[in-house]
Amino acid sequence: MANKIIEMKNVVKKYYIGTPNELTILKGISMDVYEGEFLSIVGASGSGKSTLMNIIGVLDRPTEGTYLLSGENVAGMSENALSDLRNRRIGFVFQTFNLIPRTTALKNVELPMLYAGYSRRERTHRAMELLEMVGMGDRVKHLPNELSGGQKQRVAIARAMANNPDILLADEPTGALDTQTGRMVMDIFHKLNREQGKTIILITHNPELAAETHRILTLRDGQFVGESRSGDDAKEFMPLWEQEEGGCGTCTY
Amino acid sequence: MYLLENIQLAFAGLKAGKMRAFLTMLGIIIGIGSVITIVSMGSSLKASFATTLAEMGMNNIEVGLQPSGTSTTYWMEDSDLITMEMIEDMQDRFADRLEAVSISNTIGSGQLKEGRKYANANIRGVTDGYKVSNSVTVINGRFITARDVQAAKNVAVISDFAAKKLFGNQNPLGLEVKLYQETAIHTFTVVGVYKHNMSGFGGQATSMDDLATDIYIPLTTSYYIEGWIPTGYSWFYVVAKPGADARLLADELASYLNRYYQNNPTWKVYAYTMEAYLDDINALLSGIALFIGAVAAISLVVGGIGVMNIMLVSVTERTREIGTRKALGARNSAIRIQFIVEAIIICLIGGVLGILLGIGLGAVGSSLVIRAMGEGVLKSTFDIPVTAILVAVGFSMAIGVFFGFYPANKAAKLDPIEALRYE
Repeated sequence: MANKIIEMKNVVKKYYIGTPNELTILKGISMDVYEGEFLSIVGASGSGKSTLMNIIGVLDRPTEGTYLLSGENVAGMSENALSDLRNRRIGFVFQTFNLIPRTTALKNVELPMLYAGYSRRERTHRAMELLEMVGMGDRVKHLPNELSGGQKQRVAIARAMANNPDILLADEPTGALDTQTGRMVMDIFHKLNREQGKTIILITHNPELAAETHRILTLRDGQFVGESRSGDDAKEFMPLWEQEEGGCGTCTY
Repeated sequence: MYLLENIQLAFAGLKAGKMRAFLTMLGIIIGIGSVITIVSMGSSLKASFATTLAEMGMNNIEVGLQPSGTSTTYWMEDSDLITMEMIEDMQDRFADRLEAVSISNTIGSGQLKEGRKYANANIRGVTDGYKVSNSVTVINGRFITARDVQAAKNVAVISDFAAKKLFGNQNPLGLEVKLYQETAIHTFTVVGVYKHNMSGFGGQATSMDDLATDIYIPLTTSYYIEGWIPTGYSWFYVVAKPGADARLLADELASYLNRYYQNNPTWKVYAYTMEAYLDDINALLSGIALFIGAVAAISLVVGGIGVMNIMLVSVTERTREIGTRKALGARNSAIRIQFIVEAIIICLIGGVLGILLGIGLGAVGSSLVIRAMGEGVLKSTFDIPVTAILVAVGFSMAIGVFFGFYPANKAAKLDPIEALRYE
């Protein structure tokens, strides 16, 4: 049985706590993610997808409930510890790429390794490897504004992989791309998952992309309302209440 | 740890917005520039005074009359002057420590003529002691002697420059030279030639040909030319013997001569060494430099605020970048350092440009001041104030840290989620 990368129990996220406008975005999310999974979280806007992603990516902390990332409880961790966790365990891929402007593709990929304290030589070597892997080996010295959207996203994926994270967390990675380049990006994710066994969480509102993944969790109004597996019809989600307790606690791979 | 990367990043950012970077730096450039200008001018002037006074002789003591302070009228009567008898008394009394007494009387300018050849001259009546007090180097013949003065002889010591112009390679000793003034012509026998020092900017001469050099004649002769013989002197120079404590001697001379002025309600004698003058001038220059430096420091503060302002803009513009960096695992401290380094780089470049500007302006300014004050009297010396430069570099870095800290800290404390969402 594969290792649990993520173990989330009854995670609640509230905003404006104690004020009349108190807002509960996540209403008790439970989910487990196992090493090597390619998982998608789908939901309409306002369903709490982004909030959940922020919590998974330890950019934010749950108000209630527990979240273990690779067995470590993120509650009560210092800001620096969370920074280090993001640095080493999470690889973010954003819809808008978020490459650092005025900084070459190579330097962008090196950035997480810089924060992890690798030497210049190690950084450059690994960054070159990663850029080769995503097919950007011939554009390492290019600045972000000299790259097309698809190229930018490939650099961003290489950057997300820099510190060999436990999870790739991709938030609408094809949202700003046309179908063809979007396809190319998805292919890279599939390749990473298949060949390197990388755990990938894809957050999207596109059911077709979600259907390519092993497992789809559907979020509505801050709760999971369904789960389906690879091979199932992507549009028919298993109702949550059929699960014993929380998400996919019984899933095995 | 990220220092090199941060420096590269800061330069890339500055390159992307050259105009903005320059305008931001301007405050620092002007601030540091004016400080360095003032300091380098001050130290150059000090050095000029020091070399000039040292050349005149640090053993020189100026003795003269000054108002005694209790009086309100400053008329100087003939009876107030220091008489030759007093001076001779003093010379006897302090013979063991006095090298020379030098009294001089400048009676304006004229033109020396020999046939159709001419040389411009400043006419100075002097005593034999002038040679010592003003370090005159006689290269041919002799200087004015006490006997020349006593007898009011029509003899003159001219400069090598004038000798060459008037007599060419002929030995001028014993030859006659005519001195043309506006209303009179005087004839002197040349008894000596001294070496003219081409110091400073060489006086007011419009060309080398018209350069005016000193012609020395006996003090008494100069009085006859003026048609007025004084009963005494309001000031003169005394030269202390080498090894004698000039300051102590000055005090003793003053108190010795002041015995004659005990009952004089208006005037008393002062004696001041060149060294004491130098100290006074230095104190004055330091005071001026300090004051203007303080004013310039205000412009540095203004410049620093400009840097802070632009850094705040920069932080806002790069909110998304900051969010991304945090998502990639940058600790708050890494973000803070990044922006502080950027602020330091801006200030440091501004500081270096300011130093270059200041050195340039200081060199021009001090030569202008020296020219205006001295007309060849002051030696031109330019002194690059190394300490001030080091302090300026350090100070501009400190400004960067100080005014960069608040924006950098703001950046470091940004919430990554908000920052990533920022449009």
